[in-house]
Amino acid sequence: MLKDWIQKDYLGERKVKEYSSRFRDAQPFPHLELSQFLQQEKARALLKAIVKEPFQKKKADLFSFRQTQDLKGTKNEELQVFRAFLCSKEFIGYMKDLTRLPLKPGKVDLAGTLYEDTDYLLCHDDELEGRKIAFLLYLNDFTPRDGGSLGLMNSKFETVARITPKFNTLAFFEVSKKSFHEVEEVIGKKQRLALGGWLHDP
Amino acid sequence: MIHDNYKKASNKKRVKQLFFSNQDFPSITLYDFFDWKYYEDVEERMSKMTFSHSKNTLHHSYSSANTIPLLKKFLNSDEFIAYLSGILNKDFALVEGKLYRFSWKDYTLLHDDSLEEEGYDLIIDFTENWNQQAGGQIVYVDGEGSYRSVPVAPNAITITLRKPGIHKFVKYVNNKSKKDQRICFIGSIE
Repeated sequence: MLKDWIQKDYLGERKVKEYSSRFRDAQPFPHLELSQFLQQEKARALLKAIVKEPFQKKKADLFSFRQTQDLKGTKNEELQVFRAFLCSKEFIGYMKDLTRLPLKPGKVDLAGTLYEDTDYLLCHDDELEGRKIAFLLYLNDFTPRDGGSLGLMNSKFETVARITPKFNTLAFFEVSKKSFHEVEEVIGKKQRLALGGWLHDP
Repeated sequence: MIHDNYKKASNKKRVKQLFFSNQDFPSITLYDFFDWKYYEDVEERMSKMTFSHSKNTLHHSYSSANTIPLLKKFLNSDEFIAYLSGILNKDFALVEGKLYRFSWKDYTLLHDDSLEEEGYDLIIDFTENWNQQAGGQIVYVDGEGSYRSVPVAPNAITITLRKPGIHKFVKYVNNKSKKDQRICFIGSIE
């Protein structure tokens, strides 16, 4: 099943071990950015599917963006199949090998997010009971000038790593008290579209 | 210093009624509150002030300065304290607060460490030509989905009773602000 979804560059014992080390050694906290992660046609199908979902505006002191409901309730077959893949023992096992973290099959939070001009998500750590890995699959291309980058910060709140959205890039990080991050304000007409959520511990 | 319109007995009565008409969020915004000559004097002196920027990423990013003497004197004058006491049906003695300036990427956040106790807030706006799409509004929330956003308008004052569970934040100022700045006095009536 893994090879039906994931590009071969990210599969195989040697590759997983290499990426696992990169993950654990990444600063300011464990994270990875994997470009061209899914098989291209799968990523394109997900983009087609998610734009058909209803998005609701979410606004608070900390954020402004649009989001779908949790996709466990979606009627869209592409998204259902993708979610099932994320929940599968195979994928969770793969992520356990990559991250060296205990993860629970079957328990995935997944939603679509859409950031438009002036939307943002200010600095926070994502920590909530059970969340172990936060992940994002980007579904379009941004440049740094467009904003919308995921900024990962150290304990002094200095941005140490910055991930600019690129179509079919999977970004993920370990959730902890130190996993401070933000989504920089989107500037301009481009829409930042992603599928994201959390994997959980057992 | 208070505009003559607000000194009329009939208007004072109306302001008081409007303040208490919303039981969940007792609040009122009074536009063109100060006599314009006084307002322009204050504005002119403020334009020469130095604001200091402060950032605590999980709490806030803004610039602030102590209230200029001309404004501070009036806020604690018999005239103003008596006006507030009449509107709010309560004896007050003091107005305290600071001047704040919010530019692009500035904000405040609701945070457990900085939640305020119940009290009366006074906000005085000195912002000219603000783009309402730029953020920077002061928003009161009750934690259960209800909220009230304070209008942005120069020479407007907003008085709010923050009941238990009600807190405020300043919405993130976004790129639509360009180089404009949101300037206001934020304080408490005690």
